[in-house]
Amino acid sequence: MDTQNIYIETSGVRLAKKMIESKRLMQEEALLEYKNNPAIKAAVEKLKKRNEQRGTPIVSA
Amino acid sequence: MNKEERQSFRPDGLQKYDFEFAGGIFNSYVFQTNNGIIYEILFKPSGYIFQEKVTFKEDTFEFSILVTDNPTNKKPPLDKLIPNTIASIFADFFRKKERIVVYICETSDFRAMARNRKFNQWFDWYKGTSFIKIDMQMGQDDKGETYFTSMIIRADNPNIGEVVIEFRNLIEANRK
Repeated sequence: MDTQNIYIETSGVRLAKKMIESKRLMQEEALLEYKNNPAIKAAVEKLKKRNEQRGTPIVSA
Repeated sequence: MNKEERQSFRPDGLQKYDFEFAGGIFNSYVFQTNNGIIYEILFKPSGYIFQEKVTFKEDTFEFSILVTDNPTNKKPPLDKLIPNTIASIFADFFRKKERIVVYICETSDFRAMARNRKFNQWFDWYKGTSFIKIDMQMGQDDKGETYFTSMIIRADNPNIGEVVIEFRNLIEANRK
């Protein structure tokens, strides 16, 4: 008799895959936001300016 | 300074990169490294993970680290200041004590276990006594890849009892 290994996906794996999909989507959307959202651009410019004035991006906590 | 002397997620006395809260739909924080690489730390609202009825859905976020601008065109090098910086960003994000952060390890390159180990080391180093992490192994897929996820909450989160029960329910439900 032929035997086959049958894989049954658990709900845990289904949820994990959904979360990973959500994470990848977030990363794609964040890249678009980085280019297009004026608030993100402004925050980056503000940070870069501060780093330039300090001469380094490093601070002591 | 040893681990016990350090306050939770506050790498006091250590160097880190300056950062800025940028907001947006993912509650984004940005920082720039010595190499000019821009990183974003993202916290995406993710109440869908839990049942409809839970009261803390709006305080649940998925966490991700993203390189958004890399002028070097090379793979970003290991950078000892990044863990300190992320810890400081966590401290800032968790100023609202009701917040819950969920982290799932990326599996696309079969390095989920290594990422999980690294994340655990990072958390253990910075957590102090004010944060709790609950880990969940969510099973293995047909290719043998194991899925890991963790939830981080403040120990003084007023919903901690409900959160822990719901996360346990999630673990139990997802074993089937």
